[in-house]
Amino acid sequence: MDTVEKHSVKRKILKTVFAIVLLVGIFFVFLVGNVGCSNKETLKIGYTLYQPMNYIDENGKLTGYDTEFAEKVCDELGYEPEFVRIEWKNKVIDLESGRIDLIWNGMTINDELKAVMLISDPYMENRQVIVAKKEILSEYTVQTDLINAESIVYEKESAAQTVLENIEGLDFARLKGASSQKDAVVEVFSGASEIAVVDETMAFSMTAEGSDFGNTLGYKDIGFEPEKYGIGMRLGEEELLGKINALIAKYKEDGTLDALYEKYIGKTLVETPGFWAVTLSLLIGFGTTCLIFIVTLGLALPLGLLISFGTMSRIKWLSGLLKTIIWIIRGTPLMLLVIIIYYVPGFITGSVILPLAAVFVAFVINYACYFSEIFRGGIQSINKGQYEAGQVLGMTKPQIFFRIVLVQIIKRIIPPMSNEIITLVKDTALARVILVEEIIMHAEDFVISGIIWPLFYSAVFYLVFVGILTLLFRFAEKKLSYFKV
Amino acid sequence: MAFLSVENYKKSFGNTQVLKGISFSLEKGQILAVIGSSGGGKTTLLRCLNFLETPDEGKLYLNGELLFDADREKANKNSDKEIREKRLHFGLVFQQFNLFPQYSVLGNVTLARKLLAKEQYRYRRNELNKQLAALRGTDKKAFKAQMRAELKAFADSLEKEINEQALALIDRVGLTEKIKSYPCELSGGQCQRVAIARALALSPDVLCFDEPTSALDPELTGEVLKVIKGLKSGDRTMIIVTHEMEFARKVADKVIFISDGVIEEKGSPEEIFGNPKSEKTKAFLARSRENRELD
Repeated sequence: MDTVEKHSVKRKILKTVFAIVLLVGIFFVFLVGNVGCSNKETLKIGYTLYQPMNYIDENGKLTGYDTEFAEKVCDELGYEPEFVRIEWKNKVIDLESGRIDLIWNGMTINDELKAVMLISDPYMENRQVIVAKKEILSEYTVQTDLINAESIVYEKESAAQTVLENIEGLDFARLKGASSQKDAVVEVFSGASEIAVVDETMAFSMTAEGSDFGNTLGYKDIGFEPEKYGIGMRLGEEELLGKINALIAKYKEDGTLDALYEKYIGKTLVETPGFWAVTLSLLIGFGTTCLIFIVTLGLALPLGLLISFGTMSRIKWLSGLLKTIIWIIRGTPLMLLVIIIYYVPGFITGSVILPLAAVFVAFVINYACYFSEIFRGGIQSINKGQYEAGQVLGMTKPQIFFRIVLVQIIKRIIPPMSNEIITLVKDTALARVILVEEIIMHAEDFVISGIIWPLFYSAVFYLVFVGILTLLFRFAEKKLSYFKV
Repeated sequence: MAFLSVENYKKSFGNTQVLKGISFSLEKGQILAVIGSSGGGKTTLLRCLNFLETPDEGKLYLNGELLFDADREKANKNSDKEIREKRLHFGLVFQQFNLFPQYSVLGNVTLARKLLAKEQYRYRRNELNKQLAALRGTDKKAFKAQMRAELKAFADSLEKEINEQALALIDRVGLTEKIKSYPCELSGGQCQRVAIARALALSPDVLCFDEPTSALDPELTGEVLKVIKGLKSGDRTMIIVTHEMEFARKVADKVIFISDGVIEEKGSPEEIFGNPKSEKTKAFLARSRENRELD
C-alpha cells in the first residue's frame, strides 16, 4: 500500500505539472505558429482606416481608393496582397520590423520620409484643409489667418504638421499634436481646439451629411500647397520600386487612376451606420475583449499559483529571481509590456508575432505576477495550526493543501481577487495599442464615419460584464460564508 | 520494557536549548501529566513526540520497536511517508483546537480516516487490476463485473465503518446534537471536545493533550476535563500537558515536572503534589496554588 500510495501522489503531481506544461506548450505553438516570415508570395500592405482611401463598406469588406489600387498592382505583379492595419505614427517601425512591406495609405511624400524609406512616384494629389465650427469658418481665408487662431490641432508626423511648420509667424505653443486625423476632428468638435488641419478627403467624409459632426463642423481650403501621395517601402527594395513606378505610369496613361478618383473621391461612400450596425460591430469587438479576458484568467491563475510557491520557496535564488520579476512587472505599465513583447521579437528575428498572441503573453505575465502576490498573502495568512492538525492526522502535504487550506485561502482572497479580475476586464482595452480590435477600437473606428456615440455605448458592454462578474463573486462569497476562517 | 520509552530527548532552536535531555517511560493504559511553568519545554516535548519537531538527540521506543533515533535520522533522513506512518501512532489535541473550519463536526472527525480509506481502496483496486490484466477473453469480462461489485461493497463497508465509528465518538464527547454544526457555531469547550473526537478517530497508541483547557473560559474547562477523564481505560495511553493541578492529581498515574528543559522531578501524583522533594517543584506548586486562590 505504501508504494502505491506514494506513486499515486507522485502521479497526481506529475499529471498536474504535465497538464500545465502542455497548456503552456500549446500556447507557444500557437504563438510561434503565427509568426509570419516575410513571404515572397504575399505583400503586406500597411493601412489605417481612413475614408476614402481604405475603409470598410456596408458589407464589412475593406475597400477604398488605395485598397483597390493596391489589389490591382499586386495582381499584375503576381503577389497576394495582405492588408495589415497599422498605427500611422508607427508606420516606419512597422516597415522596418517587417510587419508590413508597403505603406499604402494616402501618404504624403516629403523629404523626412524619403530619408527612411523608398517612396514611389506620386499617384494622386491632395491638399490639407481646415476643419472648424461652421460659424467661424468665414474668419479664415488665407494661411496667415491661422496666426490668430487660439489653438490648432493636427495629426503628428502627418502632412498637416509640415504645412503648419511652414507658416511664418505661427505661435507653436498654440499647436497641438493628435495621434490621428480623426482625433484632431473630435478635438474641434468637443471645443478643445479651434481649428483642425487634416486631409481634404478625410474632412469631406467626416463632416458628411448625417454624421454627428456634419451639423456643426465644416471644412475649408485656405490655400495650402497641394501635396502628392506616394507608396512607401523599405530601403533597398529598388526592384519592387521600379515595378510599382512602371505600373503607376501605366495606370496614369490608361485612365485607371482617373477611374479610381472618379469612383471614390468627393463622394459620400457609406451611409452613417445605424444602431444595429454599431451593436453588431461592438459585439465582435467585445468577443475579442472576452477572449483576452478568458485566456488571461485561465493561464494567469495557475501560473500565478506556481510563482507564489516559487516566491515562498526555500531556494534563495529562485525566490529572489521571482521577486525581482514581480517588482519589474508590477513596477512598469502593462501597456509598455504589450508594446515590448509585440515589437522586440520583430527587431531581433525579423519575423513578427500576431498582435493577439503578444497581448496574451503580456497579459498572462502581468496578471500572473499580481495574482501570485494575492495567492502568497492568502497562503501565508492561514494559521500554521491548520497544517499541523493535518500533519498529526497523518495527511500528506497535497491532502493538507487541497483538502484543508485551499478553501480557506480561496475564501480569504475572493475580495482582492475580484478587484484584480474586474481591473483585468477593463485592462483589455490596452490591447488596441498594438491594433488588436477589441471593443474600444471598434467604437473608435466609428468616429471616422462621423459618429461619436458608439464610444459611450461601449461602456454598456463593460458595465454588463462587470455586473455579471460582481454577482458571481457575491455568489461565491455567499457560498463560502457558512464557515469562518 | 515499557510500552512507551523516551530516552534523552534534546532539542534546540537556534542557540536556545529547549529540551536538555528528557527521559521517561510509560506503561500501556497509563496517564502521564506533564506540569511546569511556561517556556519550560512541555509543548516542545509533545511536538517532538508527534514529529512536528525533530529532536536533535535521543531515541523513542514504542511497543518494543525503535520508532525514532536521532543518529539514524541524521544519517538517513526519513521520507514524508515514513514520518506520516510514525505520526499515526500518536494523536495530538491542540491548545487552540485547530479544527478545520469548513468541515462540520462529523466532517472534522471523519476526514482523516476517509483519506486513509481512499488509499486502501486504491490499493485494493490496483491489486484487482493486476489480476485482471493476467486474464484473457470471457474470463476477463466476468472478472470485471465481479471486480466492480467487490470494489463497491468494499467502499460501502469502509464508509459505513467510518461513519459509525465517528458517530460513536461524537456521542462519547456528548455532541450528537451538534453533528452538522460548523466550528464557528460551537463554543470553545465544544470545539475542544470535537478535537478530542477527531484525534481519537485514528485510534492512536498514545494520545497527547497540549494544555487542552488553557484557551477556554474558566466555566468551560470542566466539560473538557470531564471528557478527558472519561477516556481513561485499560488500553488508552495518554500524555497531558496541563496547568490544572487538581485535574492532574486526580487522573494521572504519573506526573513529571519539567523546568528549564529538564525533568526536575517525577513520580506518582501523591509524591509530586503531596510530598515534593525539589525546591523548584515546591515553589512552582506554591505559585500555582496562590494563583488559584486569587481567582
